[in-house]
Amino acid sequence: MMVNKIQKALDKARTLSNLEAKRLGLWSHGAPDVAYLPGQDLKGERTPEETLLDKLALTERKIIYSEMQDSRTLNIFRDLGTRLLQREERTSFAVMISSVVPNGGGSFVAMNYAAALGLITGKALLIDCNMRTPDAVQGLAPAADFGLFDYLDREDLNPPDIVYRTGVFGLQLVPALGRKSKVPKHGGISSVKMNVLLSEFKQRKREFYVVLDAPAATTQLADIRVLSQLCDYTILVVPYGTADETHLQTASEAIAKEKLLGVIFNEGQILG
Amino acid sequence: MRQSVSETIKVLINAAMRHRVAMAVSFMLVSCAVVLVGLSWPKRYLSYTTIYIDDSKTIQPFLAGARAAAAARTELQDRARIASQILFSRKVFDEIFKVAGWADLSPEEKEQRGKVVETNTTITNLGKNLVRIAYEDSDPMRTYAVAKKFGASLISEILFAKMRGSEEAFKFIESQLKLYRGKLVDAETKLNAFRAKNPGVTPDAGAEVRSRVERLHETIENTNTELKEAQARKAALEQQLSGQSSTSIVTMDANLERVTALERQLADLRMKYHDDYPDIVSLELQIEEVKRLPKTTTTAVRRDAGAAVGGVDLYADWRRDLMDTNVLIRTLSVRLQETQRFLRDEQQRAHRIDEIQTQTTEIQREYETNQASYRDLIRQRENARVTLELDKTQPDVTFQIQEPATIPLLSIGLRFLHFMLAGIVLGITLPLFFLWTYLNNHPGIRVPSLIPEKLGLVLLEAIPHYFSPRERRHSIVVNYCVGVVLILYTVAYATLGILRFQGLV
Repeated sequence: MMVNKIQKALDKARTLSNLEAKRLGLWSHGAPDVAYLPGQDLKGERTPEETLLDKLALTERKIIYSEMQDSRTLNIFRDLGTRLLQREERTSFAVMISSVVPNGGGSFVAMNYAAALGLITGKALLIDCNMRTPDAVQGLAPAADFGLFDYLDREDLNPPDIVYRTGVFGLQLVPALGRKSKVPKHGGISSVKMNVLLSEFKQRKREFYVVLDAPAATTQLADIRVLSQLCDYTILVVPYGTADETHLQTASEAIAKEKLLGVIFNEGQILG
Repeated sequence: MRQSVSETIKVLINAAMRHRVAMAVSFMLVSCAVVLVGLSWPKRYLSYTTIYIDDSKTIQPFLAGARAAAAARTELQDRARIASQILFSRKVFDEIFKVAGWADLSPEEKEQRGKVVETNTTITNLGKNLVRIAYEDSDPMRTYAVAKKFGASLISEILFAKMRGSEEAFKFIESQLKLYRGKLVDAETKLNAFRAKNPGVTPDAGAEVRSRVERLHETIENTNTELKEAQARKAALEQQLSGQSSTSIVTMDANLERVTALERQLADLRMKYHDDYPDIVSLELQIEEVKRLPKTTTTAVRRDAGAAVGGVDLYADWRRDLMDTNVLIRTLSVRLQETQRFLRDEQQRAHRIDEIQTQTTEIQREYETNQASYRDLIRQRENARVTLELDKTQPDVTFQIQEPATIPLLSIGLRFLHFMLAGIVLGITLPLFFLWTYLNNHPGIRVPSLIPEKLGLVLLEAIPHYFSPRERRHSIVVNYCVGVVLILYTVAYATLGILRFQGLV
């Protein structure tokens, strides 16, 4: 009964998304499907070729792709992904990526890290945990009805309900869709339900790689501390100039040593 | 966060590139400001003239003496000071004001302007005989005119002063000459008067007197010897004729006379009678008896009889000798006394001659000294006269303009070119300095390698910026704009420099 309801809702959403996508001209065809349906294995984890975002759209969103001109950035992210995959014997893991300070490029790194994993494995999931500043990766799934906030706020949503296909190869997304002023009913990203969600994703299917786009470490240190416990690994992003040693020290001390993979230095934009 | 110099520079350049628009704008603002300062900076021009001054040939060397030597030495040492004393006088300044176009200024303004001119004039010694007069001002022509005038004034003033000095020296020598002439005449008169007062006191007089004294001494000695001899002779004669001998002689004389008389009778009788004539025999007996009478006397008489046999003549001779000797002694005594008197006289005379001669020598010496000084002064006066004549008639080669003043073409001190260069240097360094200060005050992590070094964390990657097409376009536009603006600014900057160089700005 419940499933049917959701199915209907999703159908509706799909129609809307389709229309929306057509209007935006972002999707080659069709709406982004809900990739993960309740009680089922992940389906269509590989996005059909025709629904992929084109190079321009990817470049505009600053997302890496295989034929991109700036091969340095691509190689860096691919290398990062490969290194973790080679190190990890498990078939699925969750990596939390958090910038040390706000606007430090954490979402950019997380998105591209996930995209790199998607490029390599075709089975990457990006969870946008920025419910207070939810616009970073929103555009990847413009038709999404539910996000992480909804999942944590409501009881009627299951993990698959919030997973959406993106136009990026091999990458699915759990958008944040949060409200800045409001805290989800079942707690934030460090809640038990979040833990449940992560466990669900990791156990659902083998070879499924989850990347969490976490908020800035120094602003939500407590959340980060807990969330890093829920994840297998943590990567901190240090932006050029804005984070100092103290910030990095504080952030790194909040994370268990064995879980801290390392630091990515984001050279950031060369201002005009 | 401590960084090495190279790292700091790297960070600085990186930061400058990130803020390239701000840097370019700062560069333009700073350099523009510096150039504006340069445009309004007052120009300063310097003109100088070098004067050759050789006063070793002037009158000073002729004036042998400490005063002149000291004066000459002082002048050698302080040429520049003397030159400044000469030039910074009201007389010279009046001329300077004329050539500088300040003749119409009020006295107060002239006073102030004079102080400014004094400050702007530098007089220095260049080596031994060169004086450099440098003047700086804001107007090149005025700078030139003033420097030239200063040079000319110095020469004319020195020449004037020199001629006046020559004249003064001549006058001084002349007055000295008069003084010494008087002294010389005095000394001569004194000498003559003294000589007249002591005639016969020739330079040989002393020697003559001394030889006379010596002769007198000799005479005295001889006379003394003779006197002593005569006295000894007298003593001997007196001894012969003295006491004991004379009594025996007297006694002997009575017997002798009896005997003599008896013998005379006997002789007479013998002429008439034979020896056996009784009278003769009796006489012989009597004589015998007389002769035999006093035994001792007879002995004595008998002893002296040998001498006195013929006796009376010898005695008479002795007495005569004694008388002669006495006469001799008296004569000698008188001579001795006379000679001694002469000696005393001569000694007194010698003493007097010595005194006179000492005085004469003193007067003579004074005379000679005056004479020498007088001769010297005459020689000096001639030299001074020659110098004076030379000063009056011939152009002086000991004072001349070695290097004439020139019209300054380039301003001194900070020129516009310096400001332009400073503008570029400051335009680059000042913004960089502020940026460096900013970076120091905002100690964010800017070098990825510091993360593992300082915090011991694993640095996975340093990710370059991912340009979106819009960002790339924006970046390119900004770069082009900055480039074009910088080029245009540089062209304008250089144009301003050229215009300034050509004197159009």
